[in-house]
Amino acid sequence: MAESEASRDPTYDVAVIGAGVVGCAIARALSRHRLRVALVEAGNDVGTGISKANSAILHTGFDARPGTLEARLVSRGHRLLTEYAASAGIPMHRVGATLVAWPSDDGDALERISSRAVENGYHAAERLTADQVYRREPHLAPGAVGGLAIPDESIICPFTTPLAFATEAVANGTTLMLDSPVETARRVDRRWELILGGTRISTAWVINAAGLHGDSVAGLFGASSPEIRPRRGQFVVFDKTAGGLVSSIVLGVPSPRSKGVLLAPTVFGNLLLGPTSEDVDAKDATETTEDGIAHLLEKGTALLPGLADTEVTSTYAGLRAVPSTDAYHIEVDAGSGYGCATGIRSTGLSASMAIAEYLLDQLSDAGLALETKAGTVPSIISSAADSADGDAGRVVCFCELTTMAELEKAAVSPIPPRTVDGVWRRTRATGGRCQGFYCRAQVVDWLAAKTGRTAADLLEVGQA
Amino acid sequence: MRVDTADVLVIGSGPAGLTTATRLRRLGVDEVVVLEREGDVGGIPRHSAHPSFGLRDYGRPMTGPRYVAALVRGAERESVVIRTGTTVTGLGYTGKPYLTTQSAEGQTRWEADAIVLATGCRERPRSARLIPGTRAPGVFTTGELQQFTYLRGVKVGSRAVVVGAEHVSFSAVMTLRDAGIDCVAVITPFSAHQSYSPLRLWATRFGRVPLLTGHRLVGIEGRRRVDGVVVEGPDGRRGIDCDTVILTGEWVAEGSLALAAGLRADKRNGGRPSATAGGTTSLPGIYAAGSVVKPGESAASATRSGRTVAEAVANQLSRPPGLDTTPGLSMEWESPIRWVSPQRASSRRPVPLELRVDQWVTDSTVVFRTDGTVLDTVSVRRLVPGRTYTFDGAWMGRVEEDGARVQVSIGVRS
Repeated sequence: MAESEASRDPTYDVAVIGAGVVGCAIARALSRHRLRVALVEAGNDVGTGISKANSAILHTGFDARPGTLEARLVSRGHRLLTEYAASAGIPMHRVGATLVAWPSDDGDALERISSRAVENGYHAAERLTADQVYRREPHLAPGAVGGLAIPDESIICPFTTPLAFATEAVANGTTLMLDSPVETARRVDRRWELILGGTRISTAWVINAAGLHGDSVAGLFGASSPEIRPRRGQFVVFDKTAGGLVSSIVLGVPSPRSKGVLLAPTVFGNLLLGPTSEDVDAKDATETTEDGIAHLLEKGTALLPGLADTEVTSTYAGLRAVPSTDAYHIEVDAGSGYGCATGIRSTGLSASMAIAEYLLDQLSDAGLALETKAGTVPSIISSAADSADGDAGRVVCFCELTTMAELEKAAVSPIPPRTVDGVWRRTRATGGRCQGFYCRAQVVDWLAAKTGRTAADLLEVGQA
Repeated sequence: MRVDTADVLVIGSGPAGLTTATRLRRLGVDEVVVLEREGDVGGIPRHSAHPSFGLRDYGRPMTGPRYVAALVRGAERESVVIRTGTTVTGLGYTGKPYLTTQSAEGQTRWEADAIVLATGCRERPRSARLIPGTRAPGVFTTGELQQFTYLRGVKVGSRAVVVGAEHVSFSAVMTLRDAGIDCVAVITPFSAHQSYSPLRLWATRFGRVPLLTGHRLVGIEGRRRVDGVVVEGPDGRRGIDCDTVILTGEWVAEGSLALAAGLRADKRNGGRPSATAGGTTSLPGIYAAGSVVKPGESAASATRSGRTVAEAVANQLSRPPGLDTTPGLSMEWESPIRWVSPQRASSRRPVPLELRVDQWVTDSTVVFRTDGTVLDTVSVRRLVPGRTYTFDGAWMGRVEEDGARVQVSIGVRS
């Protein structure tokens, strides 16, 4: 892989820095034009930063701050991604949300949220009586006083979304450079010369979509940026036996700081509880904590008593990239060939496609020629096994029923998995209720054969 | 979808499944098919290379693989059909028990007169134990460690902390030694280990591996790979440098199918089906045997269970259809009891009752009650988590009414 990368022409029109969901959406949008595009990522896969650990919800933007760029782009992004998910095969379900008001909430909350939804151009929200809340969600704890139905809130696979964008970009000629942190940036003859993990490239434009590191990456290009601070959200995923305990995304009345703890079905059939909201110092503080998990379990069982006797399948923590301005920071500067899409606090997945669209408009205004390329191919990500030949139909992961065909399909895709986690994000293998008791060793064997790495290397032995 | 049939289908080819199938053939059942989802026969003993098998069944110590080989030879002599690489994806009852499988050949729907769940058990993973920290690679169960060590020759790390101090924990310590991995500590939240002293001493090289009792794992650290753990003990918290964490024991049933089929089952124990001593579950024609019913039991116990269930199945198959033999007592239990087996029984045929606890119990009583009436009280000096205790069930005969619920609890000895 290193050889083929080195032999590529290192001259690009646009380099997108960061292969999270936003960077991947931007690269995808650019790849539909006659441009040489590089998608540059410090990690070893697409979607490995903040994009891999979120609440997996495609928001309508009903509760965004009206009049903001974020409100506009989340609403537009919801429409675009709903359509794209269906055509690309990204697992998504329009389960709707039930926002529940409890006696402790302020009495006007539902009214206020309803009118905010209308202000945001969302007209399908409906007030619910307590009875209607329980008809929708019979397993909720007693005491709800009313609610709001938001029928277009959806659940979506957070792993497949950036992968689908990046896959389409690569299929249309984008060069994906993994393990490529930006080391230096130099302005030479009105172009940028970048050293990325030891490799030199030259590009007319750079787009900073570096998420949590958006501020430090901006610094490399001499651009100004709001400070980006990490805010941790921990989550608990419950066993599939709890999947039926909620039928929609159950929200509480939001506080100014956070949307609060939610319960949601996942596209895989589990039940998700979270997030916490904790300001942390380090941009790699993705560890779960005793207090965080205990807090969620207490909240969760108070909302949904049936969770008390359900086994936990996994716990994880993600970081939101909170800008000091508390607003999306999407700008293009023609003079310096620099653009950015940062400060996307917690709505990146929902808004990703609209952010890309908005940024491309700005790039066009700044003079980048966007000529539509003929013969681009759409992204088709499908998790279904379509063949049962040979060994293909054999089940590898017994909990998630992942077949050999699905593993093989991931291996021959434009962006094959390079790590065990990469296999998990693409196929679910090792991510079920036994968490690899039965299949991890086999998946490691298989991946070692595919990548030419040793099993010990894949387990990161010696990297402590 | 292809369709196939057998007289009896056995799900799982561990000690319980192979024994059930072999015994069924000996009892005159014609077509017995064992479905195994892994590529090889044998279940958990397959990757356990220590000579802790066979004493009770074959009269000599054997390694897991040799023990499995002996069971397979027995099954082959009785013409049991074994299908490996065949995963059961659905199970149910529509006038007859049925199941669906997925294998290299595609999907198949099977019908049988009886189906025996012998799907075994597994160790509870890190997430279900709610251990906080990073998700760096380096955390394994004993099962995973043994698969890497004995089936693949992969050395998974260099310095390990073993979490748990039950039998399997010391098996993990011996596996680490075989793999050339230093075991820097064995930790348990309890005040003592739960294994037998000779095993513990042998495994820890007579104490050279420190056993930290009263210590809880409260954090896993490291980014690219585990680089340490935080433990909390009587003197507070401290870090231990290691690149590997082995989570041992805390066996739960591999009962996903029982849950999927809607069998009455214990969700907290991985879907452990509610069953009688003869393996009858809440659905007609569907039976359960071995460690799926008694998670964490030895292979010898699983084979005993397999023989008992085979006899019950053969007996039922020889009866005229439609005869309802659903027994009437159902057991309920509360913490610190982890499970009770059988969960259902008949007052006409009392059987011994087995149980496990998940906390140390000392100087107490085990009390059996129905409707507030005490049926029996047994004094116990101590009950150790991770071991199984058997109690006489003669009191079952004193329950007058079918349909009665029996509560099993631990009381303070007065």
